[in-house]
Amino acid sequence: MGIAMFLINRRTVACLSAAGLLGGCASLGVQPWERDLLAKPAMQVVASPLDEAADDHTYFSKEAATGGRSFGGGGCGCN
Amino acid sequence: MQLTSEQGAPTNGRAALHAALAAAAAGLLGSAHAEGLKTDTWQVDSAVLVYKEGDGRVQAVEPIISIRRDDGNDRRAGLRLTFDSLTGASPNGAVAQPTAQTFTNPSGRGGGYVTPAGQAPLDPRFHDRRIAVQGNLERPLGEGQRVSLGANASIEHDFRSLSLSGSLARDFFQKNTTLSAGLSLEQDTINPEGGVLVGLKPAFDRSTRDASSDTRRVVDVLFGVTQVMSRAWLMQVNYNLGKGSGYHSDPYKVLSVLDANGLLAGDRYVVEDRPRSRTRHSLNVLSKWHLTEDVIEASYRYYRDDWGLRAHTLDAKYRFQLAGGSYVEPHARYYRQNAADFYRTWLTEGVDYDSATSQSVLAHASADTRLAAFTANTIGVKFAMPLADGQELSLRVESYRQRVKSPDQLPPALQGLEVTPQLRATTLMLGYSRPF
Repeated sequence: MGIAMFLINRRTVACLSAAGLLGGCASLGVQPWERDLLAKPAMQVVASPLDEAADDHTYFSKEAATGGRSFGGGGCGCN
Repeated sequence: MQLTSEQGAPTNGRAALHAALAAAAAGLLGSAHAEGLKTDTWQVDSAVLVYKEGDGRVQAVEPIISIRRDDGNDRRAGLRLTFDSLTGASPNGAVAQPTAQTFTNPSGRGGGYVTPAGQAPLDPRFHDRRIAVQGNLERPLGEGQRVSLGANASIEHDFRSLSLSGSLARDFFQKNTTLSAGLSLEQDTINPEGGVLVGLKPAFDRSTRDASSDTRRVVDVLFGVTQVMSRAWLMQVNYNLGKGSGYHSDPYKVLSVLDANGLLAGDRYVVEDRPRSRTRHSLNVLSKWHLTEDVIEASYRYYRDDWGLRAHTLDAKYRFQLAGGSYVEPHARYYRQNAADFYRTWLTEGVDYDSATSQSVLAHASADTRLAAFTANTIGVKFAMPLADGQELSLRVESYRQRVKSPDQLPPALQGLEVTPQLRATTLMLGYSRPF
């Protein structure tokens, strides 16, 4: 299957990239007891899920670009 | 919120509901460990979004409600319901003319509308209702690993979408690095009013009807790296590849056929036609910084697809933390895209299209401004304040403006007319959250 090969190739590239990144990542970060700020709701990657869902839907229906942060919340006939 | 107050038998309606939901979630997650339930967090988020475009264009009212559960042991579940109600007028793809234009129903059944001279044609009959349901489930899979599954269903009177997704996340280096990989499969059914029309053939003509419905499949893969950079700095990089196959056109959009002077000629309007496949790439970089109290979020997204589109999106939020847990969060967003390879503001008779044979020399063409070159700005602000018992009330106001690039040279008849409709929109979102 073309799509399967396509996905496998992409995954291979991503894994190699991830492995490269991991070497650099090992020296970053904090100790478990230093997570006070990171644990705050405001510091979550998606701090306001409904805001993000609503914005994604609006921009999806008005612009050509989409994706990049998470899987969409269901398709829409608006684009 | 801790559930420790709910020990023992429920004594009122709320407690009974709570116990029933907890039992349902425990069943859903395949686990009913008492120690897990003690750290359960249940959260209800609700919002009403009101979206209004200028010049009498689209208005939408969208209530959203979501219920989330987090048992504190990497077991999470969520359910979200969205209702959309849209009314108003939407550009139909045709360009303004120095005289009034009459449009009939796409199916040729009559019930058309007239666009006054000099104005960009808007189809005033745009109306739709959408119901979308999204569910997701996350649970641990061995040490430092989580698997999550999701399902989405979205229904409109002329469109149905169903998607399933799964992803795996793994933590490294004391949870300072998280890698994730996901796959999503989406199946859409498009069932336009008047049927699916043959692309680049005369519009508003029964003979252009091809079928009553068509389908589209979209496969998405998503790879992500989330990295704790320091005690107050978090970064995430995501790469998203999407491959769609099937019907991608907008069944309600047309293109004008103009002569060299810019006046309607020959077949006057033809049905738009887009490729039946689309491959999209998105790379998103997100960074969050915690200052003494405030939080800054900034992101950049690069997008490209095989329709020739390239887009850049910059987004920034600054959360000013106020006394008592309230906050004010200004938001700015800048977006820029170039035009799709097959975007045409109109077709020129004798050059792109021949009305004598109703044939176009182009493989595909669309005048949808969403595929045109434009820039867009969003400016907004959110205010949120905590209430008693962990409740939160928020209000968000945003203003969105698109500036669509006009053709470099306009034929004489189009000079001074609104050839590419601009867009201004205001969004108001009222939110209310509470644990329970």
